Amino acid sequence: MKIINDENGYITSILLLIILIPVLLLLVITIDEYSDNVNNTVETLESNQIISISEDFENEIMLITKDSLHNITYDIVTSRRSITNRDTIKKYIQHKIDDRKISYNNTDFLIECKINDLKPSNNPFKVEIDYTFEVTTKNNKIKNTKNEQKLVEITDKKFPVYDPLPTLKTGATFNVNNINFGKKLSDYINLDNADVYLNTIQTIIIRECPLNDYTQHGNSNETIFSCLNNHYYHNSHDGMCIFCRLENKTDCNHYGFETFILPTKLVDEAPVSIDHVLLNDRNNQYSGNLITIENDTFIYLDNGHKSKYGL
Amino acid sequence: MNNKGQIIITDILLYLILLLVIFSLVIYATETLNDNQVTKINNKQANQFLKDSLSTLTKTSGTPSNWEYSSSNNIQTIGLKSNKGQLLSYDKLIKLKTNPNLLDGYFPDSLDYSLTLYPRDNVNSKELIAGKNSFTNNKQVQSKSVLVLFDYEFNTLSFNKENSSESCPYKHDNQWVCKAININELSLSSGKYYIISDSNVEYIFSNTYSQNATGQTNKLCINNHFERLRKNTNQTIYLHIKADNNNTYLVYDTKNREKFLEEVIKPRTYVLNMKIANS
Repeated sequence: MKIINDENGYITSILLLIILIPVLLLLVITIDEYSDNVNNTVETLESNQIISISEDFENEIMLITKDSLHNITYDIVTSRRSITNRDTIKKYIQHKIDDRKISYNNTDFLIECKINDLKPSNNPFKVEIDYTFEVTTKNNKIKNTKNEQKLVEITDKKFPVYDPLPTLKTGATFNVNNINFGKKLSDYINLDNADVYLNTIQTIIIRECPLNDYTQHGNSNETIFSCLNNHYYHNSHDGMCIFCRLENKTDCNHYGFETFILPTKLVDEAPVSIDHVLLNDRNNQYSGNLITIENDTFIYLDNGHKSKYGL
Repeated sequence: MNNKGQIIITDILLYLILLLVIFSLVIYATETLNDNQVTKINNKQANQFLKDSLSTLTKTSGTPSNWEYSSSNNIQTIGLKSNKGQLLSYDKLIKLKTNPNLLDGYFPDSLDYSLTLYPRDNVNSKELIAGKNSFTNNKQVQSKSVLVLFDYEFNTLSFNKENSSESCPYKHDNQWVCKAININELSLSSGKYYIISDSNVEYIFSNTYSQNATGQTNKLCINNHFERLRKNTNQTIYLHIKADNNNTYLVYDTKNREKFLEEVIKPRTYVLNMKIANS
């Protein structure tokens, strides 16, 4: 018995299509579910990656700052040309960071970093860097933004920072960590017996003296000798900070540091063997008395510095 | 179907039966899939909750970040990460262990949880940090573990060799590593200084008055030496260690954790495990 006239087979095709619809729906749901899972996993991975990239890049900012200070001070002591202001260093660091950024931008992330400020800190052996930092995924879905102020030490042995003051003030020659004053320092000094500093040679790498109580310098010859031999630097209100030294200033409002300059000739009284007394301002130099440490090692100090160093 | 493509009664019956079977299969598959989805979503949510809780515990320092010293009322979130680095703070762990209810507020009442810790090399010495020892519902327990290292709040100074043109007051050669530290009465009374090394090392401690103490050790509390060498209120002490290629450290311990000193040389890995289950 024929109940449906389906001469061309249309009804059969429609019925088959009806069966196919739920199958297709199930397929779509399954694909959607998997795609959601994949997206979630990708976002979690990206978020973890952003955290680790941020940490890595922030560490790089510290290293780049140290390396920049090392390079800038090296260029200054070799070329004997000062910088005009702190912005020059800021721009140098920014440029280095921009270069470094490119290698990160080849990944799936974008990094933006701006150095807002670079200034002296309360500790003269550290500088404060203020930066704004942002890492985003290229699709802009996840973002990590930070504004940080961090202290960067200038006494890291891997990135030695050179004291530019002796070369800038006297024009003395720098040669592999050392400076040979020749006649330059004695010519620069405006006082009697300036020739005690003829042919002084010493290192100009900035190293912090390990003694926290400076009066301990006078406890034994060994102690003061070690300090003079290593050419350590000490906290000082009168000494200039690293930035003022780089700008070749004659005075500085920031808390700075000072070091001894070793004379080569023995007399009773001569210009004081402290760098800020001899170098900061030619019109404010003053003399001090002889203090003998060992036969060939002696310095000249005024009463103020004698008491500071317990000598 | 006849030779003109027309459906006849036997065909339509067969067709309907086939249609019924296929629809039943589809409905059954949809139901099963739906049930699975619900279970999967529930499990996924529980798993995500477990994952997030463990991440918060191990990857954040909590709020405030020094919550281990705060009273319970001032603590907003719990995180075990040390404020100084990526390791977990032992102080925070101890605070959580002595106040396990601090974590209770982060889990819904319908969930039981447990947080346990054990050394990776000794699974049997499990310690319960917070939560319940056993669950009422043991069927749907979700568990997740992470490997962790602890920061015992030691202050350490490494005597690894480094290239430097500095010389010590004793003008030692490059077999020695010499460092200076500053001590005073307060630092000596509030903690213990140790020299710890992976093998016997020769040491000299000297003060700014050219007095010294010498010896050999791989683990030694040196407060007595420091007391003898301290002549000023703030005394600088030079530590000279004949380091060769050893791992040698000066460790300052203010929390009486001598038993963990070895971990400065060989850090021990622990497993922090969290379990949750519907109660």
